[in-house]
Amino acid sequence: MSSETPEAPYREITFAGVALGVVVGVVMTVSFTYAGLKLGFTVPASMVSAMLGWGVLRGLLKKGSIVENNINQTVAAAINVSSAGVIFTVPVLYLFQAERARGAASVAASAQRAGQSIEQYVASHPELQSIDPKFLWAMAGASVAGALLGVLFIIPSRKQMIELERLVFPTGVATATILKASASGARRARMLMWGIVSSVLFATFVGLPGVVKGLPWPAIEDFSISERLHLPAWFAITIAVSGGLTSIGGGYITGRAGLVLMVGAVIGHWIVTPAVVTQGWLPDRAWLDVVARAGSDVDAARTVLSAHGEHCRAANTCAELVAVGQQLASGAHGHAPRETANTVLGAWAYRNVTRPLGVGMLLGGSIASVILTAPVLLAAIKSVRRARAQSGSKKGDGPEELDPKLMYTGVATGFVILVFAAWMGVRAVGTDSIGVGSILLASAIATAWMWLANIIVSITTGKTDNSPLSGMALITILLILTALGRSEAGVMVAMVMAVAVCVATGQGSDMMQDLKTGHLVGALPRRQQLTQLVVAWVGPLVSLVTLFILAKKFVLGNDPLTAPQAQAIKAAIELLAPAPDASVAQQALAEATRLRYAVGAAVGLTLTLGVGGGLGVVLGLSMYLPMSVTLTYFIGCVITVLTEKRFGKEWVEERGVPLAAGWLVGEGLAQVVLVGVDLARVAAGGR
Amino acid sequence: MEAAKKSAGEHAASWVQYLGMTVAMLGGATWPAPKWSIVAVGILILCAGILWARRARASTTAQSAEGAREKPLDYARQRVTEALERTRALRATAESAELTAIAAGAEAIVRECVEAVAKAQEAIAAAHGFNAYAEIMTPFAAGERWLNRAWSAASDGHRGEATHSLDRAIEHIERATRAG
Repeated sequence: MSSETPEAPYREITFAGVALGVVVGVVMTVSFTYAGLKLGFTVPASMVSAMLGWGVLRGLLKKGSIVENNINQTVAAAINVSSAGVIFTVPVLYLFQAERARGAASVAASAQRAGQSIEQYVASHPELQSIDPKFLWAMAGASVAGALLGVLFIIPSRKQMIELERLVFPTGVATATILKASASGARRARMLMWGIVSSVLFATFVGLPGVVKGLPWPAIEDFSISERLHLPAWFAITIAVSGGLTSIGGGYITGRAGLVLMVGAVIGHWIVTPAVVTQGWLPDRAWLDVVARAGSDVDAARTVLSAHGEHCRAANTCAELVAVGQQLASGAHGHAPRETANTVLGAWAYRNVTRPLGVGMLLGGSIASVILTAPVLLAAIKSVRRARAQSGSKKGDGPEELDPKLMYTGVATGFVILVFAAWMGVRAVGTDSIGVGSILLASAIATAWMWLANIIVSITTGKTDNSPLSGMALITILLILTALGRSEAGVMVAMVMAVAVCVATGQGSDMMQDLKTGHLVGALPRRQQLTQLVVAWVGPLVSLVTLFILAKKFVLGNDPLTAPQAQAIKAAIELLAPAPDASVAQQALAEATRLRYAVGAAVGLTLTLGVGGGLGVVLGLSMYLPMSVTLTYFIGCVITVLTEKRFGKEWVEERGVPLAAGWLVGEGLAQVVLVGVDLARVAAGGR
Repeated sequence: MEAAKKSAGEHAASWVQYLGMTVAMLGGATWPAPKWSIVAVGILILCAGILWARRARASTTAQSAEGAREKPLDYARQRVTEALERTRALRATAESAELTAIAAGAEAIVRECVEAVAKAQEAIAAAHGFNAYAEIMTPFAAGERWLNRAWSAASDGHRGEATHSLDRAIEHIERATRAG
């Protein structure tokens, strides 16, 4: 604990704190734009920047305060969080452009001259995926609009989610633990450090083989218990290894309240997915025949696959089944043939059945949550106005929340920027198939959905630390393409709106995490909200510029920048909004997916309206998430219950929570180190 | 007071709800289109589970209300009043007390009074509605944030901000005593 200082003003928003946050945020945004394109996920900057904050503000400058460091982490996280929204969506444009190049006669001729396949030729010529800079301007506008609206839409929910419902926000709690560590007593600080050190070592050990080739141990993503028990792969009992301590730490901090998450996982992964496979609720039952035969008569299975593969190819569908069929037919598979087929069938059922049901449930549950909490939300907004009138009259603290007039102006500005971005996008496509009226309609739909999606993501983050950003982007695309139809310009507008929603939901949930941290250290909400609003636009632009530069060197969708999330969104566009000339099978799959959203929404709506407490949202999320994440998180919750029972509540608060917070922090730090190693390797000419 | 404990009836009703959800989801998972009749049966089972849970909860509330209908709210008011008294006492000594003592005092009030009311959320909401809880908790949580700030300022060695934060905490907790 610090000794007493002369009575200078208490440091909160300072140049040093903001500048440090900007530097850390920009560096992490650049790093995680690259890492996210490679791995498909990013890491929040808040905990890392809070740790650096102590080193710089108090260690070097000798004058940092807890709430000043809180502003530093708010700024860094506000900048870095947008990288996820950008890398999940914008690369889709590059992927479509590369696909166009593959179909071009000139490219085919060049590939032939070079003695390469078209695929190889496109993969080695990044210029073929280059897109008109107008598209990037449209995306820049969308992401800035999203950043602005995301922060503003979530501010009125602060009292509801943090002060009344008291959602956990595990990352927010972990960040607060770091901010308070120096003054929390030696035991808590020691446990935090133990957590950080053990987590850094573990995550580096697990992640290093993915960066440095030739190490004597393999990269391990998950530990499959199903495989050890010789259960079929579609009955997933999997524990996350990479990111495992983060999930356990998040679960531990959430505690008993997180146990219910497992119910949704059991229904989704142990009942629905197996039922789809075993009952043959698939586009083509011939696959079951393949699985049945693969165990005993591999040659017969290969014969079926061979014939069936041709059928699939002709129908331009079930591409992944074809791929495995080819693997089986050639014998080039790592597992037994039956397991290979089971793995693919399980993945198909999870992606096309369980996950859409979960997304629908999230949607229905959130709509019900909004209906149920509307009166209290309105009361909270009124209390913001009342508090504004009452506070600030003395002692110069000012109002607690941002000025409502500023918020309304900001929302209007964000909407105008969004409309402008969509208009730019349509202009870049070069058609006049979509007029201003349609652009206004799409912007209005996206803005309304953005508000709801922001609440959905903030609730799921608050309850579990997981945010279904890509699911929200998919629904945006579905909504816009349903409204505008599937034309080139329609897809462009849908992409603009998806970028805006993805960035907005990221910003909104980050704002709530930061406000939770702020609540725990006694920061003034208005100062945090203002700071986040001022810097929120920086991150998307840094991420876009980084992406633009990377796309000059690498072809996205290929090693090393496979852009997995963007590939999934591109596949979803093709699935949810098939072109008019799409095959019957594709159109049937699209229709089935939409109906599953509807079924999930009906269940989520009924459950949440009837039971309350956001139950539909939590169960929907656990059907949406992979089993490895939910099961590992559940283990963390169980450990809390057991340790509380064995050692008592004080032990959990004094030792368990700081240790779990350290695990969360350590994974983030290790990822920063691994990305740094990878960037250095790429800069030195490695790929 | 802990969060409202579920009765055996409420637990059983939860399992009926999960069963209904499972049936509806299975109905939605069939190919090529959902089997709407199964979905409907699932939602009906879910609704039955919800109704059963409500009846079980109402019965539990009625039983507890026989003894003391106002108990959860009274409990919350007692904790708010206790928090106010303890914060005033802490403020009274704040000019001269050890900074560590100010931080420890603020932390103890949050842990023993504010969190106790937060944990009674379900009980208050079940007996009096969520708005009754919100009326008390909105100003009380604002007071909690100022107590947290007092902790931070005291830990940072800033006595002026710590005492000022205690003043602000008292203002908000006083509002909480008048609410509800």
